[in-house]
This record gives sequence, C-alpha cells and structure tokens, in this order.
Amino acid sequence: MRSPDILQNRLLARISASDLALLEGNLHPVDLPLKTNLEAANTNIESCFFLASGVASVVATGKSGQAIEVGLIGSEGVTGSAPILGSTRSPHATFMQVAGSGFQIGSSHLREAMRNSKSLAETLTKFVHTFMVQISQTALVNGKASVDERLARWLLMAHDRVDSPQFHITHEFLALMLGVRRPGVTNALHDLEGKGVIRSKRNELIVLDRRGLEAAAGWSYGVPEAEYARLFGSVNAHAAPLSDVVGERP
Amino acid sequence: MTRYFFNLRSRDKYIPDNEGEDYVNLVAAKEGAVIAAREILSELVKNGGLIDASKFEITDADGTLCATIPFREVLRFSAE
Repeated sequence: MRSPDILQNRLLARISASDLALLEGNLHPVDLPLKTNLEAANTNIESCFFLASGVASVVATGKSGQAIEVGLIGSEGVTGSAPILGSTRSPHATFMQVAGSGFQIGSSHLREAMRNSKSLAETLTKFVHTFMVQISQTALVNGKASVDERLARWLLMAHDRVDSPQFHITHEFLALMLGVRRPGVTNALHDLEGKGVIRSKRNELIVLDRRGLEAAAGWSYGVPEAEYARLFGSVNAHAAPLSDVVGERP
Repeated sequence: MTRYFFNLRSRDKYIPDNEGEDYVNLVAAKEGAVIAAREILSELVKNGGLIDASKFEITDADGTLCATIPFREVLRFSAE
C-alpha cells in the first residue's frame, strides 16, 4: 500500500502543530479494504480512524436485523463519535464501504490527548457536531425525499469523499445505504443514467455531471456540507489541495 | 443458495439486473421480487409518477427465465 499522508485527512491537516504532536506517536497508517469493520455494534471501540481516503459507513441496525446507513465519513473526518464523546461503545456499526486508507489511533490515546488539549477536544467535538447534523439530515431526507433524490444525495456525498469521479459500489450496498430493496436501486440508477448524470456499470459508478446530480438531489443535499464548510472548509476532496488552504500550521 | 436476477421489463424499457441476489430457492426469490415490486410501485404512487414498470423477469445465472412477476398482481384491493 502507498502510505497515506497526514495532510490527506482534513482534521489532522487543520489542527495545530502542538496538537498533532500529541497524537502523532500513536497514529498508525493503515490500509482499509472494502468491508473492513472499524466498529462493531455494542462492542468496545478500541480504535478511531482518521481517514485519508475511502468512505466509512455508519449503519444503524434494528432488533430484527433491519439496517440502514445513518452517516458516512471520509477524509473530512474521523470515526469514533462514541469514544470522542466519552462512551466506550455504540449500538451502531461502522465499516468501509469504499476502500481507502487512514490513520488508526487507540481510543484511549485519543481521549488522553483530548484531556491534554482543549483546542484538540474542541476540533473533534465540533466535527462530531457536523456529523450529527449529517445524521439529522439523513433522517429528514429518509422521511421526506424520494428514492431518486436520496440516491443522488448519497452519490454526491460519496463523490465529495473520493478522489476520482468513479468508484466501486454494488447495488446491494447502495440498497443497504438507502434502506430499500436492491431492484429499487437499480431502477433509480437507471433514471439517473437516463438524465446523463451518471454511468452505472457492474460494481462501478461514474459521476459524469456533478451539477446535474446536484439538480437531481434537489433540496436533499447540502445542509451538513454547509455546516462542515462553516467550521472546517469544504468537505469536497476535489476542492483546492489542503496544503494551499492550510499553509503554515498555527 | 442460488443467484437470481430481477430484470425489469416495461413497455418501452428493459433494465437488466447485472448483479443478482442469492436466495434459497425460486419461491423465496419470487417473494423477494414481490416485495421489491411493491416498493417500486409505492414510490411511483407517492410521487405521482407514471407506473411504467410492468413486470420482473426472474432469470438464473444461465439467463434462463425462471418466473415472471407482473406488477399488477402484487397490489391487493378489496372487493368493491
């Protein structure tokens, strides 16, 4: 694997040199293949992951096995909202849904660094706030938007977090993400293809027209992205390289 | 487990299922297709869309047609 760069993660790129020094010895570069489990439901969360690339999916599960994605995290953030907020576990599960890489840190090390630095604690809890906004918006669109709109929103959120316009994803995975049956996804993808905004091949999706996809998502996309941008800058991995934006560390 | 493919056929479009889904047998696959058909129909009804999807053609890995699920048959109405 090509070793990820600290600067690829937008939170690590942004924190001060002294805060980074608190973490650095405990940040281990890791390859994160498809379906890697980052957190299991109701199980001690040993590690948090600052992603450099790829997309992690946080999934809520019902008592009878029902499952739906409630949030996704890429290089704009970190997994482990529960340990960051002071809990050792969560009923949600988190796994890699687009393969990537990142930096693993023991939850206890992260907590300790947060106790030692108010500014680091603030950065991480502010990120968790933006993630809660994302989850809330997912609840809103699951209740109020159509499957076509929700699919377009999801594709935009994934596109924001991957480096290229094409990424590997199966219809089966998308069905879990959106909480619909797989043929419903195939049908909705066909509608988006008809509009010329994406191309769907087996296990692969290509975003052809980002603006067209935004139009298809309508009101359902943009609120959590704006909240993240207000606090941290653009979620979009295609935006200006961070080295240009960040410059010297404070 | 057997992999079944739910190809969507309507009057003027055909959406092949290139991915498929594993089921214990054809009966279970047909049940899955009925639920998926209801879901697609409910979405169209909710959004006032034209119900142009007309049936699932369920095929196996060889492309053999195993069953057809007409969308009209998945809706249940009480007698007037």
